[in-house]
Amino acid sequence: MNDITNIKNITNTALERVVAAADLEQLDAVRVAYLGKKGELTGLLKQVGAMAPEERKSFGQDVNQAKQQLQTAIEARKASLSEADLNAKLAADIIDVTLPGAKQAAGGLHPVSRALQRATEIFEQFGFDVATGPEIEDEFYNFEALNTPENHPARAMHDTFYFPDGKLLRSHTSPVQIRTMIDSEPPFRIISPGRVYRCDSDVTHVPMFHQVEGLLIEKDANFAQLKSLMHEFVNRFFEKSLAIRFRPSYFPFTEPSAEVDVACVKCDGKGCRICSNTGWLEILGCGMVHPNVLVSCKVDPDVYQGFAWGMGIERLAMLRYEIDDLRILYENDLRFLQQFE
Amino acid sequence: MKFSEQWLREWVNPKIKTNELAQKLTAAGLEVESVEAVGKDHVIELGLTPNRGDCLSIRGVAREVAVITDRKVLFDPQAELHSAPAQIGATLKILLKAKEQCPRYTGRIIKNVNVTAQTPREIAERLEKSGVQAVSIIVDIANYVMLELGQPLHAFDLDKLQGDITVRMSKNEEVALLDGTTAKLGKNTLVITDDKKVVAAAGVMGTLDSAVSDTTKNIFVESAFFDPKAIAGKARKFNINSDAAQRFERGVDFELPPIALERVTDLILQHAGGQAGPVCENTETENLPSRDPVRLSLHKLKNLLGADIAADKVASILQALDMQVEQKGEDFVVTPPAHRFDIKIAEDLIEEIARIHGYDQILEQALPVTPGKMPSETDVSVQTIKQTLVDRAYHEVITYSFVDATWQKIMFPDEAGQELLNPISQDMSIMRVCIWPGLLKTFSYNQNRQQSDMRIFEIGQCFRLRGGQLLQSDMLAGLISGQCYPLHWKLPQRPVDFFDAKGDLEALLAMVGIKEAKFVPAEHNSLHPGQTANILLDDEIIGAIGALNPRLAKEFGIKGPVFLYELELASILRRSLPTCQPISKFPAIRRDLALLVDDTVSAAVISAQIKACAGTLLSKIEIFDIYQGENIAKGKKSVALGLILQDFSHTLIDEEVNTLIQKVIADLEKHLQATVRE
Repeated sequence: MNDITNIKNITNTALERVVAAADLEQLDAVRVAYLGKKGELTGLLKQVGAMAPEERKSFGQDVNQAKQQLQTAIEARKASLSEADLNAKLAADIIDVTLPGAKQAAGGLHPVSRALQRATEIFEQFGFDVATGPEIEDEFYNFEALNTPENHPARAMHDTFYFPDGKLLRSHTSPVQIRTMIDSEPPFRIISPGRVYRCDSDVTHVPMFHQVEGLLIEKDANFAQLKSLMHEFVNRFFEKSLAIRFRPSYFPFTEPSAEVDVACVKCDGKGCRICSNTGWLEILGCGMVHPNVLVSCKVDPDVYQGFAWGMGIERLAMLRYEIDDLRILYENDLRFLQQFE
Repeated sequence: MKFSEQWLREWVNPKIKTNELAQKLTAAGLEVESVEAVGKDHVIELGLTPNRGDCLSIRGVAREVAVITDRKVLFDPQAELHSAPAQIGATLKILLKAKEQCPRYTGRIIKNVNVTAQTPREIAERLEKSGVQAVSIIVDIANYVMLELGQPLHAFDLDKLQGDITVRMSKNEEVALLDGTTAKLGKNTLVITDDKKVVAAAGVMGTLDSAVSDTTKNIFVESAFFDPKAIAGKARKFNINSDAAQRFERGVDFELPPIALERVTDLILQHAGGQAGPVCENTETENLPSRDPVRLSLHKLKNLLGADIAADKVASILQALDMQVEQKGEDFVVTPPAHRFDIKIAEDLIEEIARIHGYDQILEQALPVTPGKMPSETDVSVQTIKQTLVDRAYHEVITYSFVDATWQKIMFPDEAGQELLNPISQDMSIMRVCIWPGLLKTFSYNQNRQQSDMRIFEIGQCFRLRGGQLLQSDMLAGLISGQCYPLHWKLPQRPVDFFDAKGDLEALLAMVGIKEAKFVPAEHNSLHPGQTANILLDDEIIGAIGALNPRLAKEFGIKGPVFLYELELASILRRSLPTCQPISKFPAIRRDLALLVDDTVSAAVISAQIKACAGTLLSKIEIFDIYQGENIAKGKKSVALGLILQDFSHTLIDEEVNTLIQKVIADLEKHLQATVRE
């Protein structure tokens, strides 16, 4: 048997074994058996030394060619075995994708705080800045500076909580506006969201609730702008175009004053249980700031005028989220809170 | 103000149905709260604002209806009521000692009245429709005239009066009023007296022992004007309901007393008989309220309303409201009538014009846009803080700012809380010094409803005394209890512990970039003595965290461990602007150490010791195991740490790392008596 036939035979056998290799391990054994340091084809090269010089070159070339051929076959087989391996793995690694994911439970904001935030953002779009202040207040900031002297009949509208030293819990967030006006210079566009307190507790009253009050003091502020702003607010808050009506009213700190009704958000003004069949819902009070208030706050009423409003957030939240019991808001029952996740 | 529609229509009768009338009243600022059909009549209830005392009568409402329906009031009491001729000569002298508070007092004696006469059905029915109970003929007639004309009247039993009438300020008397209450009058109550005693708290209520009874024969009827400021707040102070005070404190037409006196005399003579004496009157004209002219410029009207209303329309509205109007160039000079106490400045007139013209006639004008303040990038909004906790499975709660004084005193015995003078109830009687009592109440409420896995937080003001000063600061407080994760097929079930609460707090601090806050073991009356820490930033306490003391839990009826924390909100409202630092190009090397130390040596102490010793090559320490138990002596613990070392100038080689680690070990052995576990 000549050398060439021998190389061919070895190569053919090796190629057969490559094809027969069932997995990567067997395939590697084939590689070692032929191409390894002590492999059969590698071994052939060692014979070169014993050969006549004229034979060496072609023999060497033949062996290297065979090695190359085998190497290529092994690579190809390896690729196909890997692919098959992966396919088998993919076929086996099946999970139930319908099982629940690993996660922390959900949390949520309180609906009142959610509505308060929304109201705040709407007014921020109109250039109003948020102002805050203390909740235990003086008579001055809560009443006197607001043109509501002692014994004013309007004080009976606010059942106020008092402390033994004469201080009180603010009955509206207007004191914040007074403080802002006294502490800085006009013009003003501010809103004061926050907690307020009135000594009243029954089915439709809670002793603590939230307001967003607003104040605009500019040289040309007028009632027509107030109407527009309130209407914009209502439409944006409820995300629909709603009719509103301004009714003349009275607050010591505004003149003219108005109460604002919005067409019932539930029945669009047709009349339903929510609006007691009137088609209207009272949602806020407002008016042009009384000159006495401006004077109390050292703002010149001959130069500046403005408007102010106040709205209860609980009412807005209840209408927005269809909550029909005021008191449930402050029971903080998890099953209630979880509905606002 | 509640009244019969038929009665109103005797005074003014527009050709519109009840519903339309109600809508018009509401649109003009006299809000109709309800309309109730009673037989063929309707009872209309108005929710009157405190400035419209002039509408607390049929006549007052009729005046408004006439203006808004363009009609005339059909009955003018001033023109149609004439003084009845005196049938007897009996009089009382009237002495006004408090002229400012009572500048006009009229009255008259009527003798031989039949106090047992039946009140006519029509009067009784109208009273009833106005929510006034019929009592007896004299009282009923007085009430009827008050409802009709707006003038409160009072009848004394003449035979119980001793001498003449004096109106003066009280001198600390104490009297029994008609409704049985005892009123301490102090020194600033306006009173009506006879020669011996106080017979009425003027404009509020008469005394019991001068009152008309079913044996009364002779009466003295009072019809007076009292200054609103003298009456304001008195009924509330004595804690009584008084229709008279309600009217006087809002202002009653000062021209009305003699007219109403004629009306009440007429009706008494007609329905209870008797003989009337001459009118007794004392008026201090100078002290009657003035009606000063108010100047109104059309420019101001337009400027304030943002609407044009023609001059002749303005004039006609004001005249219809019984104002005297004089045009002076561009301006009007307007004098309000005696029955209006709420017209002092131009804005008051502008409101009158606007409401009669119709608020709905003023067209909306878009507000010019001006940009608001842009928050700094270093400001952290409360909303972001809330959202961070919400994302960590918290529900926000809102609890009352006043809490149960008992709970608060148990939890914070050293804090002097602000107690309310007039709380709703004992469990809402004191201002909170901390949000924890509210959170615990909420937890307890939910636990009683099978909801024990909770993460809740609240942000709000707390009220503490510090150095005699009331401090009102916003606090953030959290409570966690129950299972850490909802029941899940894969996640391990375990109850929450201190470190879950601490992790949430650290997440908040990390969000605002606070890395240097320290958790220092502390004691707190309401917390577990071994599981409590104060949170310090720059050596100032900004918060606290701990497990609820099980003794308190038991006392409050709360089951299971509960973890609480609080933080000064202000401490996390700012974060610093990031400044970019270079990143090392060279690889980091990690070496682990297992140390055996006394179990009183805290992780913070070990870390600080290592940092001080290792210097700048140390980039991070990771504590990855704490072990006590088998193979560890009692009183000791094993702490496993990973030290991450990195340099900016070269790749660290084993030799220098080993030297550094040996130095750290030697240092720990020396200062913390630590030994390295092999």
